[in-house]
Amino acid sequence: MTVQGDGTDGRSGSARTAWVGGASNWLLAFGSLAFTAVVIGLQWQSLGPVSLALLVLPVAVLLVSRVRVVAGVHGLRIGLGPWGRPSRTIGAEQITSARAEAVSAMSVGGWGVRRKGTLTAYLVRGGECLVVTTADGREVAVSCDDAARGAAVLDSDR
Amino acid sequence: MLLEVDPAEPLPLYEQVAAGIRAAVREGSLHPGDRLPPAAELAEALDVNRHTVLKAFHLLREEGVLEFRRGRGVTVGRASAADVELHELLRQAVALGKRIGYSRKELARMIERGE
Repeated sequence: MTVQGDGTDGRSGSARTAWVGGASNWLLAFGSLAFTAVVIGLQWQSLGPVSLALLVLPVAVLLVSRVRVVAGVHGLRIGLGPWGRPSRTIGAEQITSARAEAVSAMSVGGWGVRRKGTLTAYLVRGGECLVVTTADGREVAVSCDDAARGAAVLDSDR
Repeated sequence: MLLEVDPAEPLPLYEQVAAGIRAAVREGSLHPGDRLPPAAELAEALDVNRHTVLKAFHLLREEGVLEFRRGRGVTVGRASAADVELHELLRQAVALGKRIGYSRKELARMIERGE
């Protein structure tokens, strides 16, 4: 990839739009940090394998306390947790449609990474989601505030 | 945050990206402390070179809109919304000044004199 220093990429083409969105659940984030503090506090004298095993739980919860979506030319990237990793990308060529839809946590069995039939949901809270349909007929839902804007970006070339 | 780039526009791509981030801060879709996605992710979404996005980040850091923090990446700066507005007004003042014949130095003098 050549790098040009004059601010132009040398890339031609039409106008492109990208959307950065997502959602977070402060209760989950706070809860997992509080849990971590308690575990470390109680186990301070002897931080052994049990305590370390216990600390896996708050990290796991932290990963599903926040989700970031980046929608654009490449498709949709879904990043979990405060660090945006792990992440998953659904390529543009895989996406057949996109929409905003409310998904309740109860309907998919709770928060986190949930599977129900052909739907995979990345839920940090019940409510507004960005839902994409993929070429294989499956669906992916991600908690996303203002999801309609993200859907518009993904749907614009369909 | 919605970002748009249009190669047909006269403004350099990195300036367009910066303008999009400034707009997001101004309208409140980005808040002080919010972490921006890595430049690579924005670059792939906009189909631009990663260095274009990095250039926008660096420009915005100079303006105080963004901060680079070790361990937290690129975040929106604390006093941002007002800073963004101020920089916008300054840009417009400089542009207008240029049109009607005032240099930057003259504008600076006017500000210092309290006009």
